[in-house]
Amino acid sequence: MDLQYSFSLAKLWSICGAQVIMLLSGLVLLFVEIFYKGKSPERRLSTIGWLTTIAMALALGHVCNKEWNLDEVVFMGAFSMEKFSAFLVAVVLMAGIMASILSIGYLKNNKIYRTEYFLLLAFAVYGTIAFVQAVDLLMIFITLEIMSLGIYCLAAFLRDDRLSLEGSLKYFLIGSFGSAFLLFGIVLIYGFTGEINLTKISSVLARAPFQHPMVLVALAMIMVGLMFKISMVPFHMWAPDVYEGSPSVVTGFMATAVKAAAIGVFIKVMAVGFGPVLSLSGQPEFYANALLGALGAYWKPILWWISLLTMFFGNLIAVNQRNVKRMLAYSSIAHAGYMTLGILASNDMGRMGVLFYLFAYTIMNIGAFGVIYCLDGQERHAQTLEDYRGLGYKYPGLSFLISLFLVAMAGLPPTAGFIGKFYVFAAAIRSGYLLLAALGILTSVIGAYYYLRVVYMLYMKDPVREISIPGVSVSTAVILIAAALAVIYLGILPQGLTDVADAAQKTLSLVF
Amino acid sequence: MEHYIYFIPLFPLLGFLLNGILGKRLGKSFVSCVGCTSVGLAFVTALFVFKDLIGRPVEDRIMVDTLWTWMAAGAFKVDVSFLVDQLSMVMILIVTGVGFLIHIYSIGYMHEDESYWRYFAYLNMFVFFMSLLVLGANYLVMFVGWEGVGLASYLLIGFWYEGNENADAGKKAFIVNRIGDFGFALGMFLMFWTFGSLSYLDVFPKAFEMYEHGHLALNAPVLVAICLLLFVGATGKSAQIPLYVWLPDAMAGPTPVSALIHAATMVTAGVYMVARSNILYTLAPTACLVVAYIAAATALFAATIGILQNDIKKVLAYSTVSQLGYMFIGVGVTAYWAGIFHLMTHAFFKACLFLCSGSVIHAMGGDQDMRHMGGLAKKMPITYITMLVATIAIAGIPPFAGFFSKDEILWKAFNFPYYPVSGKIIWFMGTLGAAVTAFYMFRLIFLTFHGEFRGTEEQKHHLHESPYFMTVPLMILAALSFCGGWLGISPLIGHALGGVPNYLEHFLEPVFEHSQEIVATIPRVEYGHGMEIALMTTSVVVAIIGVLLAFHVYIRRFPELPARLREQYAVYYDLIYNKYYVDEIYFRIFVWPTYYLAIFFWKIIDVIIIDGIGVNGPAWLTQRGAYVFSRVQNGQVQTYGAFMLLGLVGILWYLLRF
Repeated sequence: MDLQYSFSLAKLWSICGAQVIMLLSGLVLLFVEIFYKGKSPERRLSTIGWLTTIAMALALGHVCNKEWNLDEVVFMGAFSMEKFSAFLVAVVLMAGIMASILSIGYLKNNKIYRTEYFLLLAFAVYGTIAFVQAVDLLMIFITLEIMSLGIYCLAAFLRDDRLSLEGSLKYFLIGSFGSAFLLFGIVLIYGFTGEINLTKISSVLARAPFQHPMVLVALAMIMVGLMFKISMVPFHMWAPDVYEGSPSVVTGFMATAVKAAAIGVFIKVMAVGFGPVLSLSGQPEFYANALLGALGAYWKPILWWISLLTMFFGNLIAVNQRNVKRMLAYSSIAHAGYMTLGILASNDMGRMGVLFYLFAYTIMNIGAFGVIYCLDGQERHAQTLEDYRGLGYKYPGLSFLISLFLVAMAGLPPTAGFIGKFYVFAAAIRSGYLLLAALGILTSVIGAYYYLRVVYMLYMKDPVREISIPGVSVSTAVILIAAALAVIYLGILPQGLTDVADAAQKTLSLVF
Repeated sequence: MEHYIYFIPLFPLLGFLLNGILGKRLGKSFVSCVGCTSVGLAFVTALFVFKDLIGRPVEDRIMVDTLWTWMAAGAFKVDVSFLVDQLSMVMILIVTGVGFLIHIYSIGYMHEDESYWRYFAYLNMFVFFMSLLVLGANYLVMFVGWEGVGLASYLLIGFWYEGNENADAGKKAFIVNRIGDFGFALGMFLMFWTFGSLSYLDVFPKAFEMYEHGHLALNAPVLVAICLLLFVGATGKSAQIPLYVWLPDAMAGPTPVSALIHAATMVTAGVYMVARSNILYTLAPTACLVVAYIAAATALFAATIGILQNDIKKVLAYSTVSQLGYMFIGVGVTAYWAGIFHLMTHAFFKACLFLCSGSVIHAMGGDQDMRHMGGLAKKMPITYITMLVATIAIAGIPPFAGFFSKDEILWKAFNFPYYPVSGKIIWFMGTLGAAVTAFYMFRLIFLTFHGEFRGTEEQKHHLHESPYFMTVPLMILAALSFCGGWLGISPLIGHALGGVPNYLEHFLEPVFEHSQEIVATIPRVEYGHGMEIALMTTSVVVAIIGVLLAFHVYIRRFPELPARLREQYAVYYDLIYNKYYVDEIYFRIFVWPTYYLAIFFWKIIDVIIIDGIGVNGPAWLTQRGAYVFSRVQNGQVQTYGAFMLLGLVGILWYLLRF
C-alpha cells in the first residue's frame, strides 16, 4: 500500500487547529474537573464554565484570525479547511460560546453543580467541528457519532426529570437508527467506488454509470442519515420530544450548532460527492464531474417534497403547541425546511442564503432559548403560553428580547431572519422553484401567527399565575443583548455577512 | 445636495427610541415634547425638500438619497435609498403635516392615559415606517414600511389591551393584512422575475421601454399578474373588498389613531402604491378594470352599511372604506393624479371628522353611541362647525374640498379610456355612492349635534368643549377641508373663474407622463364641456338630495319615521345593520376550516399516530411516572422509526421506479 498522504504537524495545526484546541482543552478540563475543588459548588461551576468558554473562544480566534486561502486545504484526505468549513466552524463555535455562557446561569438556576456538563459540551463542540470539516465519509460517520454522544448525554442531564431522560433515550435509539442508514449508505458507495473520500468518490462516479441502482440506494441512505440530523419531515419525529425534554440551553445548542453542521455536511456531500461542483475547480481530473449534474434529476424532486413537507408540518403543528419550547422545536423543523429551499436551489445565491440563514438562525434561536431558561427559572417551571401571559410588564427586558427573537424567526424586517428568508426564497425562485417558494411563503404566514402569539401573550393578556424568576446574571444579559443587537444589525446592514457567506460558498470547489 | 432626505424618517425614529426607552421615567411633558417635535421636525425637513424640489427645473425633479446597499447577490441588488419626486413629495407632506396635527391633538386627548409614553412611542414609530413606505426608492423599502405600519397599527388598535375585544380587533387586522401581504410579496417576486430589479428607477423605464420596443404587449399576462398581486396587498392595507373587514373593527384603538392611521395615511398606502406603479397598471388594462370595479363596488357597498351604524366611529370607518373606494376608482381608471388628489382632500376632511368625533366622545365620557347624543351643537360650537365643514366637504358640495376631487374622479371614470362602457357603470355606482354618502354623513351630524340630548343626566352635566390642544388642530383641518380642493380645480371651472390653473395636476404630471402617453394612443370618444357640466351638476344634485333626505328623516320626522321604516323593512334593516353578515360568512368559510385543519393535523397525525400508538405522549408519561424505559421501548420510538423507514422506502421507490 502506498502512502497517499503525508503527515505533518504544521499542517495538522493549520487545518485542524480548532479541533486540536477543543480536544486538548477538553482533556485538560477533564483533569481540572477532577482536581479543582473550588470554594463553593457555584464557584467551581462558573470556573469550569468560563474555562470551557475560553477554550472555545481560543478556537474561534484560530478560525477567525486567518483568511483561509491555504495552498492545500485537505489534511490526510480526511478534514478540510477552506472558507466554507471555516464559516460553519465559526457558527458552531459561536453557538458553543453562547451556550456555555448561558449554561452557567442555567445550571445555577436548576441547582445542578455537576461540572461534567461542560466537558460534554466541549467534546460535543469538538465532534461538531470535526463533522463539519470532514471530507471523508468514514470521518463524517465517526465525527457524527462523537458529536451525538456528547449531545445524548447533555440531553439527559436533568437526571431526575423524566422528560429529559425519555427524550435522550429516544434520541439515542432513533439516532442509532439514523446512523445505521448513513453507515449502510457509506458501505454501498464504498462497494461501488472503492473510495471513501468525497472527491475521489465523485471522480470515480463521474467516470462510471452513476445512475446504477446501487449508487441511488446509497445516495438515498446517506441523505436519510443526514436529513435525520437536520430533522426534516418525516425523519423529524424525535425532535419535539428531545427538544422539549432537554435542558433549554442544550436544546438551543442542538437546534442550531448540530443542525448547522448537518446542513453544512449535507451541502458538502451533495455538491462535492454527488454533484458537479468540483468541475469548477479547474483540475483536469475533475472535468468529468460536470456529468454528475444529471444526478440532480434524482435527488432534487425528493428534496422538493421533503422541503414542502418540512415547512408545512413544522409550521402547522407548531400552531397547536401550548409549550413554548415544544413550539420552537416544531418551528426549528420548519426552519430546516426553509433552508432546504436554498440547498435545493443549488446555485450561488442559494448556498450563500443558507449560510446566512444558518448564522442568523443560530443567533436568534440560542437567544430565544436563553430567554426561555431565564423566564423558566427552574426547568419546566414556566414555559407554557399560559405562563407567559402578562410577563411583558413584569419583565420588560426579557420579554422584549424574546419578542425580538421571535419576530426575527417569523422573518419580519428589519431583522436578520427576513434577510435570510429573502435570500433562500429568491434563490429558489431563480432556480425555477416558483411554486415551492410560494408555498413556503404561505407557510411562513402560519409561522408568523404562532410566533406573534407569544408576543401577544406577553403584552396583551393578564397573568393567570404569579411567575417569579431568579435574577439574570450579567454574562447572560450580555449574551442576550449582543444577540439581539446582532439580529437587528444583520437585518439592516447584512452586506458584511453576505459577502463573507458568498466567499465561503464559492470555496466548496476547492475541497480536494 | 440631496443627502438630507433621510432626516425625514430619522426624526420620528429617534422620537420612537427616546420615548420607547426613556419615556416611562421622564414624565408626560417630556414625552409629548419629544413626540410632537420629532414629527414637527420631519415636517419642516419635508418643507425644505419641497422648496428644493420646486426650485429645480421640471425635468430634474427627482431626488435620490442612497444610504447603503441592503442586499446584493449577483445581478440582484437592493439599496436602502430614498426617492423624492412629485408624488412622494405630496404624500410625505400629508403624512408629516397631518401627522403633526394629530400628534398635537393627542396631547389633549390622551392626557389621562397611564401608558401615555407607549402611545407616543408607537405613534412616532408609525410615522417612521410610513415615511419609509412613501420615500422608499424601491419596492422592498416600501414593503418594509408596509409591514412596519401594519405592526404599528396592530399595536395601536390593541392599545387598550385590557379589553379582549380590542385585542381581537388587533389580531383581525393583523391576520387580514397578512393575507394581503402574501399577495404583495408574490407580486414583488414576480416583478423581480420579470424586470430583474425592484427599484422604481429601473423597473418603470424598463417596462416602458419594453413596451415601446414591442417586447411587452399591452395587457401582457405577467404584467396583469404582477398588478393584481400587488393589488391584493392593497386590498388588505387599504381595506377594499374582500379584505376590508378589519378596518371597522380597528376603531377599537384611540380616536387620534383612527384619524391618523385608519383614515388619513396608512390606509391610503395602497392608493399610493398603485399610483407609484402607474406605468405597470397602465400597461395592464385588465388589472385596471379589476381595480376600478372592486373600488366602485367597495365605494357603494361600504356606503350603504354606513347608513345604519349607530356607533359614531363605525360610521366614519365605513365612510373611510367607501372613500378609499373612490380613490381606487381614480387610480383604476388611469386618472392617477385624481386618485392622489382625493387622497389628499380625504386626508384633510376625514382626519378632521375623526378628530371631531374624538372630541365628541371625549365630551360624552367615552360613549360612542349616537343614539345617546343629540343637541351637542350648543355645547361644543367649535367641534360642531369644524365637523360640519368636513361633512360638507365629504358630501361633495362645492366649493368645499371633496367636491373637486370626487368630481374629477367620477368624470375620469366616465371617460375610462380602456373600457368606455364599464366606465359609465362605474360612474353610475360612484354617483349613487355619493348620494348615499351625503345621506349618512348628514345623518351623523343631525343625530349628534341637533335635536334633543338623549344621554344620561350625568353625561349632560359633563358636556364641554374640548381644550385648545384639540380644537386648534380641528380648526386647521377644517380650513384645509374647505379650501384644500382649490389646488386641483378642473380646467372647466378654472376657466370660468378667470384662468385659475390646476396646480396639483401640473405638479404631478411628470410622474404620470409615460402612462398618459400610452393612454393617449387609445382611441376613444371625447366628451365635451357640456357633458362635464351635466355630470358635475348631477353629482351636486344627488348630494343635495342625500342631505335633504337626511334632514327629512332625522330632523323633521325624527324619531317617528326612522322607527317606522325600521319596522316596515325589518329584513333589509337587519341585513344592512349586520353589515351583510360578511364577518360571519368569512368566519364560516375561512376561519373554521383552517382551524379544523390544524386541529386535524395535530390530533390525527401528532397525537394519534405519533403519540397515540403505544403511549399517549409526554403528559401521560409524567402523570404515570414509572416504567419510563419499558414504555419508551414498546411504543413511540418504534413509530418514529417506522416513519423514518416509510420515508426511506418512499425515497427508494422514487429513485428506483424506472
